[in-house]
Amino acid sequence: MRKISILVIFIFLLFGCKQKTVVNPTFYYWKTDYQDKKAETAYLNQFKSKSLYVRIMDVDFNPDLQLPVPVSPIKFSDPIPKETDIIPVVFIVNQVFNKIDTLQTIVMADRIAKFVAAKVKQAGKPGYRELQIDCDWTKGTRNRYFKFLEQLKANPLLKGKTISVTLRLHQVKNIVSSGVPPVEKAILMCYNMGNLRKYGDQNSILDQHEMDLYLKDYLEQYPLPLDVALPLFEWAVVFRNGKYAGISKRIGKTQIGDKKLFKQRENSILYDLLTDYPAAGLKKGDVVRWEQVSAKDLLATSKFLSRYLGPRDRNIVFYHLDTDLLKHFTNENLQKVIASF
Amino acid sequence: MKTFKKLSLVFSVFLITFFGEIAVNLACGGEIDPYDYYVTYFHNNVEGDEYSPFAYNQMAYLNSETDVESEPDINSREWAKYLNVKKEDVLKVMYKTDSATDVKLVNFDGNISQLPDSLQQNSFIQALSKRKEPLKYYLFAKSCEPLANVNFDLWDPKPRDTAAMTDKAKEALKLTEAAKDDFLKLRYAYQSERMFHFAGLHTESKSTYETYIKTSKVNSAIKGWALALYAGSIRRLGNPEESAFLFSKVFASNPERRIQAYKNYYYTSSPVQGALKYAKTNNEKANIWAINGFGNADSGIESLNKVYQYEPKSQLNGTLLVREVNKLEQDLIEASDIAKIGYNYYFSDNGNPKYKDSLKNINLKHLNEIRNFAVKLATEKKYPQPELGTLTAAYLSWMENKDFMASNYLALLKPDKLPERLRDQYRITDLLIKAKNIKKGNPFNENDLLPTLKWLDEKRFAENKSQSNGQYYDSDQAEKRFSRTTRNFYQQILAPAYLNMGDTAKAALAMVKGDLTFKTLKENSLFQNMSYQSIAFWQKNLSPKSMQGLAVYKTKSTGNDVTGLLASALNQLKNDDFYELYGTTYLRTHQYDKAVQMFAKVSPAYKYFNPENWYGDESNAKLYANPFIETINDFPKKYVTAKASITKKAFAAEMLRLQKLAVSDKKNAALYYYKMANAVYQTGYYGNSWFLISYDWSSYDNSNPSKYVYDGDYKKAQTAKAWYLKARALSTNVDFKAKCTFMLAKCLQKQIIMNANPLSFYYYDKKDVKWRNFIKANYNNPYLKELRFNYAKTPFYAVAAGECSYLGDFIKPKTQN
Repeated sequence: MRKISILVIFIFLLFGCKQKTVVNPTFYYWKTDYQDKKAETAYLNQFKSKSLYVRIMDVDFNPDLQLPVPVSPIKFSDPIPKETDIIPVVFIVNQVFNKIDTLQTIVMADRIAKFVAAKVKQAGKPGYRELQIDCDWTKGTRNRYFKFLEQLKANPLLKGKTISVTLRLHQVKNIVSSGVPPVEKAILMCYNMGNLRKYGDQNSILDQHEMDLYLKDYLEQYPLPLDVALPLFEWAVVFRNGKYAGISKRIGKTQIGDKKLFKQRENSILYDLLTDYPAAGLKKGDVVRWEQVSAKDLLATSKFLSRYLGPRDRNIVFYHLDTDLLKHFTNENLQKVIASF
Repeated sequence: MKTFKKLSLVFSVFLITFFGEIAVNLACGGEIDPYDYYVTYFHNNVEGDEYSPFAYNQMAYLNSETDVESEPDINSREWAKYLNVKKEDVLKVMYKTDSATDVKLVNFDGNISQLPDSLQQNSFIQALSKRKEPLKYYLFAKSCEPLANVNFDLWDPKPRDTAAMTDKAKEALKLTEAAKDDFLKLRYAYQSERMFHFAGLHTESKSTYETYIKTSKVNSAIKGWALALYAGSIRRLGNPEESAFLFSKVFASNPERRIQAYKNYYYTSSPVQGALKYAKTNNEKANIWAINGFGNADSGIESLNKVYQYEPKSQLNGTLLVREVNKLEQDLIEASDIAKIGYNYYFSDNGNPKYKDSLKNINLKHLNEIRNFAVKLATEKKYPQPELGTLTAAYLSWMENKDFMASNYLALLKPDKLPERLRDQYRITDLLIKAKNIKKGNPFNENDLLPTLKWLDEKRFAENKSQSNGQYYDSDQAEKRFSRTTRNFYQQILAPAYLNMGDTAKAALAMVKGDLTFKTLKENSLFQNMSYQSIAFWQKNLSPKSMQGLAVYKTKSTGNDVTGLLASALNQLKNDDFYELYGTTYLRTHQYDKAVQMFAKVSPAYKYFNPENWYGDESNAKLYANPFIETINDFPKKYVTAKASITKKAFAAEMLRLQKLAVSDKKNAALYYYKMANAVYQTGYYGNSWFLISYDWSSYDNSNPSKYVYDGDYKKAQTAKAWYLKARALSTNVDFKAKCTFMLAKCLQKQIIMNANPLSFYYYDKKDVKWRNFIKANYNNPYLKELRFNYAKTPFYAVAAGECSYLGDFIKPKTQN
């Protein structure tokens, strides 16, 4: 009993003394053509974002060439605003590391470094400070991925630069099998946590239950400094005969709200399609799970996370910079989310 | 428990090695030659080369990636005609300059004296220097070149300069409007269209085509190239079906762009009916069906019928028909066991026979459909070469084993009136039908084949001019049709026929003859010039009797008959390998006196075969052994240095000495038999000197049933067992008898393993009867029992029980669970 009361006091003290952390809110830019759109840049200004995470390319294994190659690299139609730094992000498909050995990863690291440097120049920036590698590594690819990260770090083009990596929830929980990537910091991806393909009324984008399961007992111990990525997106997950059929890009809020098209199942996020809808390739009887994230959800998430994250300066990165998505949130609400870290 | 555990361990190690080996073999197996992966005698170019890239080949996307016509040639010809200059001069300047000359040409202002001498003489350059407008276009085209000819490198971060492309496109459009000369106007428009296209401005690209190119009256290949771009824009603008139709038009009209158009057609993913919606003429419909036929790896009678319905005169019919014949060959001609080609799923040994039969029936049904079509083609005579139909019907009938029908079809043709390729195919078909008569008791005279065989030799020698020194892959493989046909005839038809007649020696001759594709040989050792299949046949199947037969055949090379033809091929090759193998066949049959004689004929410098030591470093690259050493355990195998090793020749001599001593020195005969038994024991799968009687060793061998003469020793230790028994019977020394008994137990164990067929253990079912029987057989090894009950007090028994855990287990068995 005495021990418990000491613990309670200790925890109380801990919370009481919690240092105030500096939070830098910003966004991911995930489109393949960068255009300096006024509305979008306004958000950067509003948030006083010092930097913008910009997806440079995906890297996937090309079976014809038997090589990892860039997929849909970004094109800069406009330069990135002067006052905003670029944090290039490279998404590497996990299977790449199943296909190539550590000699080939050196080559890939070198190519990525050069490619990123050139793209940063095209963005109108003299250089960059941080490079983020996004890869959903698994136990099987861990060793080669980590080796690749070390090779990247040793690349002369990355001298003096920080490498950060993305971190999925399961990698926090299964730290023994997933390992800790050999980099300075990571960003916790607080989305796509539920089972997307499973039929049901769960929200696969953001789910407090999943976060409890994967983070509650583990996040605090995670040895790397962590930034946080939060979702702003929404999507329509289509099920046909109870089976996952895909994500429909032609179904948006307007269609979901159309009473002639969809009928909501009582208080759930499932919607029955009432008629054939060839424009989206859907058929009568298809079920759409309309998944979105509310300001309330985000606030709950940020409060939950702040309980377990150590006190330090931190980037909070919203996915992603798009006026259509952002219009669902008021500035005030988002500021609350940011402030709660 | 202990025994069981040990046996489990032994077997798990064995299974890991066994299946590991299969995995390694699969992974390390040779690559299949895409131009030689099924047995074929029907040449895929018999109908001409117009559509040769689309000949049937399941191993490659296209049989060839080279168009039958060259775009540079066509363009140069157009310019030559326009400017009245030499085509070669245009080609040289437009397509064959080096980068230094290129820089000069980019800045060429008509002043010829600035150019290198070689160009000053060029008629195309001279014409340009005199004519302002063509020069202006030429320079403009040159300025577009860096934008159009971009090295494709996905890792190049530089984005395409679409702004510059757009500028060029607009400039070209203005120049098109201004141009007075139709020839140049069309070309400016083409430059504009393609620059818009590359810049991603498909609407502009499309309208340029529609306004200036579609309506142009000039007869030029450029219109086809422009149509290809237009088709691409149509796809980008959201109409894949129309796009597919347009690509099919380019496919038909521009052979220099045919492959590209074909690929782009499929890139639209449009169904055949989608493209057909836009087709108006029969010709257009036929081309769409043809493209669909070329893209079909399964039986394609539908496209064949449709193309014939719409355009019976087109060569497409012939090409599609030959494709079907090739498909049927792949599906119906099973490679002979002695000359497997590639790997064919249908004919794999593990296929369910019922499934195989039903598959065969389906394929035979296809054969009949195709033959009916061929007969229709021949009788209706709408197709310009109806003889192809008759010939195909004959060939397919031969494939179906209906030789009488085949001969009847063939009799309808007059070979001397056929065009060359058809005549060649006629001759091959005729040979195939006749060769069926080579059977025991058949009065057929094989020498009737001789002229055709000699002709085939000339044909294949012409395809293989000089023997290359290295192991480089010959890139011309696709064109070596006669080489494949000839080899297939000897190895798939003639050799198996001789084998069926019981003449293994002649079969061996035919195998070698099939491999010799060069008229003269640079390196003439026997096994260097043989294919893997022939080497395997020679090394595994030949007995002393067949070697004797071969030796006799070797003396008959001068005869003007099939035997002479075959024998002279073998005589082109050196005798060393021949006598080495001859000697080995005697080692296998324990006729050591004769083996000694044969090895004496091998040159002294000859290097006898020693296997590679895969696990050794360079200084230990080969394995050497002495079969006369005694070992209690088989594993690890005991090897020796090269110096201490025993060659086949020395082995034969020593065995002969022991054999003689066993007769002459009766008192010690037991010891001589024991020594001989030890030595032949070591030549087995488990021994250190297996390479004295076998040419390869694989962990597979242990699970495959005995097949060859030497397997009695290699796999079952039969001779060793007989000689140990003799040695034991002749001796009175108890310790010696104990040794013999122990070795007898080991010989018997080899047979237990062979009979068990360890493959059935892979699922490791302890209750399986086979598994239980195997364990029981090991426990019931009578020689082990004898050893335990009769020789337990001998010194050897103590040593063996200590060293051989297997024996130890037998002595103190624990109940298995």
